[in-house]
Amino acid sequence: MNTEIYKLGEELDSFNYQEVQDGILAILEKGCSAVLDMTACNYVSSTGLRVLLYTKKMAASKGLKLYLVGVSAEVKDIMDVTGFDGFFDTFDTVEECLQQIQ
Amino acid sequence: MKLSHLLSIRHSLASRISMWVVLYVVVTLFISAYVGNYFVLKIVREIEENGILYTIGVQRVSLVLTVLFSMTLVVLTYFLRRIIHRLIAPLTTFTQAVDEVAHGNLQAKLPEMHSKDEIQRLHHSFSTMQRSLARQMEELKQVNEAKGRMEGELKVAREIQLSMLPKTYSSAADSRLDIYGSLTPAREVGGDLYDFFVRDGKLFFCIGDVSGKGVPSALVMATTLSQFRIVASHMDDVKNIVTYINRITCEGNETYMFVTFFVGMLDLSTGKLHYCDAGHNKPFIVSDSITELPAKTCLPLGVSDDTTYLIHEYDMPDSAMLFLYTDGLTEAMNGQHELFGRQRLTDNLKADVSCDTQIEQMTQAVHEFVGEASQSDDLTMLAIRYIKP
Repeated sequence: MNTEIYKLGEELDSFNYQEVQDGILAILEKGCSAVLDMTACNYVSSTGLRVLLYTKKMAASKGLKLYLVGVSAEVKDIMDVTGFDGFFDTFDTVEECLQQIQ
Repeated sequence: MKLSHLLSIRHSLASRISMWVVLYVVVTLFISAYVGNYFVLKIVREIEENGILYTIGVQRVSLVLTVLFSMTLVVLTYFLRRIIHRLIAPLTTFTQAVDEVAHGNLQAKLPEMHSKDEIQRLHHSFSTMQRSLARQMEELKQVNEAKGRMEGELKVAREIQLSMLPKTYSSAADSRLDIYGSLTPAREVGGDLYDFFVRDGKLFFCIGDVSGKGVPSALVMATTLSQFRIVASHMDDVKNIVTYINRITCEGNETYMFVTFFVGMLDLSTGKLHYCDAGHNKPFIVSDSITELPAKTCLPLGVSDDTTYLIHEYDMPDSAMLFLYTDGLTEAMNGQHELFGRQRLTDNLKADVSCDTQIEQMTQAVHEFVGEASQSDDLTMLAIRYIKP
């Protein structure tokens, strides 16, 4: 399966959500699954969660996938508290992710 | 307008001055030749006739020539000043007109320019700038008018939203309950919601938070709230209520807004609470101690239409207060970017105050903490006290 990596910055919130969403959708448009490198990210707002939800659904509608890599403890906490525990496909490293999906 | 044919002030000045200088030199030479000749001859005759010393004669000649030269220099200076003044005069009138524009009169007319050099170029650039500025001011005026209209509409929308929320259910109407709710949107309208009502001896209540802020969240808030009212008015089972609302929220959810939601049903004769946590902050139970209501957090509404929701049961202790809130409370930020947090929240929960007092005190604590910083998220609280009959 073709994949492309998109690297997130420190935060994903209402200020930068649009460019992140556009970036991931661009990858999906090319027919590649998106691997989201979140190693640098330590905060995701509800708007950010919405972007992840939206891009995951978009990927599914095209028969593609969205993978989250390197989710920090803080972000995992935010996701768990909001009930997203186990909803996304997550991996610890990019290598592990690419290995597993082949 | 074609600007390429314009001359340069430098060139025109240089050519005019050189013309006058040449003219001056030629004229001076001629005058001094003839006049000087006359005087020299006169002096030579005097020397021959009167025997005036040669040197004195030469002195007189020099004196005559010096006087002549100075007079013509004065004339030359006069003409040079006139040339420069004539070139600069248009600039002076132009500056006066520019001053008028600078003081706010964008419609001021610039004087007609007849010079064919940089001054013409300046005039052209300036009048282009003047027109462009007038156009931008007009656009700004229209944008401000539209903004004013929008703000007016949002004010009305806020009133509508706040009137959708029940405020209080005093224990005078039903001695088993004391309820108070409060919602302060961060902007004119917000995405937080809560509701409660009593039907057939049961209290149905909910609290929720639509992802995002502002008008889009407010729209989803309104539909979710009305769905809860409708669904909980004829379904008793909490699982059915939340599953149904979730399915409705997922339908036509093209923008994938999700809603964190906590819903509960309290049987007023037994004190048994059935509840479901759909991605929302777990409420606190305040009695002898302050504990968080145990629950497995499920997915929020609007994420997946086949989510299985888990329902929990809890026996409400007599006179215990259930305190529900949204993350606008714990994530309220002060000027130093510190969050209010769960610790401050639990520190401010008291077991022996009425529900409205509890919420007012908590609101006060948040305002003191936040200080001058602006409110970043909707602040929503719902307090329910159950008194066993």
